[in-house]
Amino acid sequence: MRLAAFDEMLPEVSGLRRPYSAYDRWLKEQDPARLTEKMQDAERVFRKTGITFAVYGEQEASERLIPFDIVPRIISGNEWRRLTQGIEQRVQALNAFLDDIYHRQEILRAGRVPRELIAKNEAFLPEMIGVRPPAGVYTHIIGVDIVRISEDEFYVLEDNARTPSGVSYMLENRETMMQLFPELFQKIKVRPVENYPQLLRQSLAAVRPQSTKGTPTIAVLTPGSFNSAYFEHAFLADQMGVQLVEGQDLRVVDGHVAMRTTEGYKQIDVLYRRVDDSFLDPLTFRPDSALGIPGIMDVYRAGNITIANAPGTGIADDKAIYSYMPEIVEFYTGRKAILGNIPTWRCSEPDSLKYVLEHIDELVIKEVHGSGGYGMLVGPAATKKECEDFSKKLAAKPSNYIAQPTLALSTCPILTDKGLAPRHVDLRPYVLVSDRIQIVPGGLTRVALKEGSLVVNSSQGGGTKDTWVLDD
Amino acid sequence: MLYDIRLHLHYDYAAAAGGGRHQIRVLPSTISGVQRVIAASLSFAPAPNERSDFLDFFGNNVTSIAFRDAHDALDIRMSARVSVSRPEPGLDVSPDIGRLRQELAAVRSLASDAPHHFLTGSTHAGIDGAITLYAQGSVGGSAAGTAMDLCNRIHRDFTYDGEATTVRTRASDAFRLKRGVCQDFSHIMIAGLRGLGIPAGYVSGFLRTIPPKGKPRLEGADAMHAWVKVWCGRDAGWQEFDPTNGMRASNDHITVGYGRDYSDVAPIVGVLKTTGGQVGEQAVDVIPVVLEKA
Repeated sequence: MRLAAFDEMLPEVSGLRRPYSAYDRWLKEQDPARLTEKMQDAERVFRKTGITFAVYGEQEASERLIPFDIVPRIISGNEWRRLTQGIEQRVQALNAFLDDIYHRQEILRAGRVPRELIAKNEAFLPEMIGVRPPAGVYTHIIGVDIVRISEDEFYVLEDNARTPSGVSYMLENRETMMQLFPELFQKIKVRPVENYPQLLRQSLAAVRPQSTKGTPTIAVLTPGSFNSAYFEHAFLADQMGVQLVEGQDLRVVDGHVAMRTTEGYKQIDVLYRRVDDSFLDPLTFRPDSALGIPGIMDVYRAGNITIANAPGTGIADDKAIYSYMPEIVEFYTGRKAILGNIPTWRCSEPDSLKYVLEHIDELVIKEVHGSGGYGMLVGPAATKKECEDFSKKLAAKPSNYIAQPTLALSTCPILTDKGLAPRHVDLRPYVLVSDRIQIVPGGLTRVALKEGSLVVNSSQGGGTKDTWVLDD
Repeated sequence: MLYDIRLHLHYDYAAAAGGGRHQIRVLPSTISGVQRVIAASLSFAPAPNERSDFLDFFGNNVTSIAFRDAHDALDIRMSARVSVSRPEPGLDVSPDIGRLRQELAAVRSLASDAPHHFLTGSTHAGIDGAITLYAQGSVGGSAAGTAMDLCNRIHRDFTYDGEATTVRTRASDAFRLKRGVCQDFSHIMIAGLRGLGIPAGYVSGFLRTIPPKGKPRLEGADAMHAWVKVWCGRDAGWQEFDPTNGMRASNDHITVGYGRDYSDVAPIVGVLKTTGGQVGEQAVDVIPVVLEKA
């Protein structure tokens, strides 16, 4: 099935779109052979910097290069302003929702979100009830996945409020583009993203515990080199100039979390953790976890460490909660959501389940707790057998799934052997929350490299592009 | 009933252990309508370098301790005087399962005693097809009646066997073995009720054992006990059942804490660095106190 999609550079109806005009002029002057060369250069750059990601469940080549396309995705200043308003509103609502869920639960009392959706959810941590995180922030680093389907229609696909990854690709993509095409950045004014590590550092320092004396000590907690995003953990720690630590490097000493150094224990004030909630503290969560720090939750309860993002944040970006986001945004901000949701069928509801089972070949079906494009079905692209098998899984445990219409995600051209060709894209801008909300102008554009494919996840054969927000 | 309770936990480490950190949940608390704690204390040897006491989400007393120096044994002693006075189970006002679901949907709270927390499978008491099928044999009449019947059947159908299972055994495994201890029977009952859509939780505590006639009460022969609390609807509320003994919780049941399963109220969880294993011992005395009239 081919979907008629809106192309962000060359829509069929109106011809070249304005944000791309300067780039298009430049592109037409280029020798195709030189561009092909640049493509190979790009791959060399990535290989040299060692930007890889690990794919779970593949024995050979457990680390891969993520494919990169040299045609940038360009967003005008005006489009960006609209997007940021919507994102800011959404992020405010997410934090307000988390604070409410772990304190007064007004939204549950008001009956806007069903209680069992919270109580039955593994991402909801009763241990967090009544705990006030430093500076009142729950989700500090968010990657909101946004899709576009026409000139004016943007939708939020997912709110990644736990531990969004991919920001290192955003940074490396820009650096690679600047190396390959320095002249382009002189011709076209593109807003910078390079300062993200500094912004992240400032943002984390701003949410330090009240008791911190002097400059706060920040560290990045990684599960270790076997994690798919280990490269990013090391990269961010390096760029921020802070320590990269594993659970075994840390210990609770006298009511504080401290890391082992050659000069003895050094207290940590802010921990940017890239370890899942359930592994964070074996005394409170999974007792078999060797990745966490025994007793860190005691320190957290006492207000002596900032954990970013806060434990229990997952309840806000859960796919079952997602379908309630329009209500959640309105409940806490008092205004209609600026950025819409994709219509979602909750398979836990019998009527929805019936509809989904009858239209399985038209819908995208996702696991409520899944991520990374694992365990999902894209109806229009699936075989009859795949649909039938999935129907059985769905009928056996309906509450585990949601379904969405197959949207014609906008396309953006990529450079192929035969010249430019449209491919579907999405966008993940990165948001930092401290005493204010900052959104880096740009983000990670993921592109489905296979013709017609709608799955952009890097684990499923997606690539990335540099994302330009014009300074106009 | 008035009791003096003494708990003694002792661990010997094969090699000296350093950097230990533990959370202990053994102190009973005052629960309105169930019991009143008159005095309680908890002590450790060696003395920990850090100690903090707090209440967890379910309202349980938690003591967190940490050791900096190496030690080759840990000794924990708890003693408490508790007065237990549960109301007599009156008329059964609990609805059938269908009505129970409607009443459940009307409960808007997510406080720690809200039934919603006790509906889904948890680590030790996961919803399991075979257990649900078994529990279905008890359906009929009121929710409390169903719970009582299931409690009695588990008591009858399963064999008490201290060797068959460990503290890590899950409900599904104990169910297949048809054997276990109070912890396993409670998990099976919880899993069964949740499979039927009835909220059920884990209660950890102590039980006064009444010695056989003519024989003296054996001190230290008792162990920590576990039973089940069941949400029986808006009016009947939480009721407690003991599947190990096939009875409702009585004034012989002294409560320490509540949780979704064992892992929420484990008497001790900890992490320490050592080589080799550890040997643990547990001794419990539950002594009824008879106050002499002055």
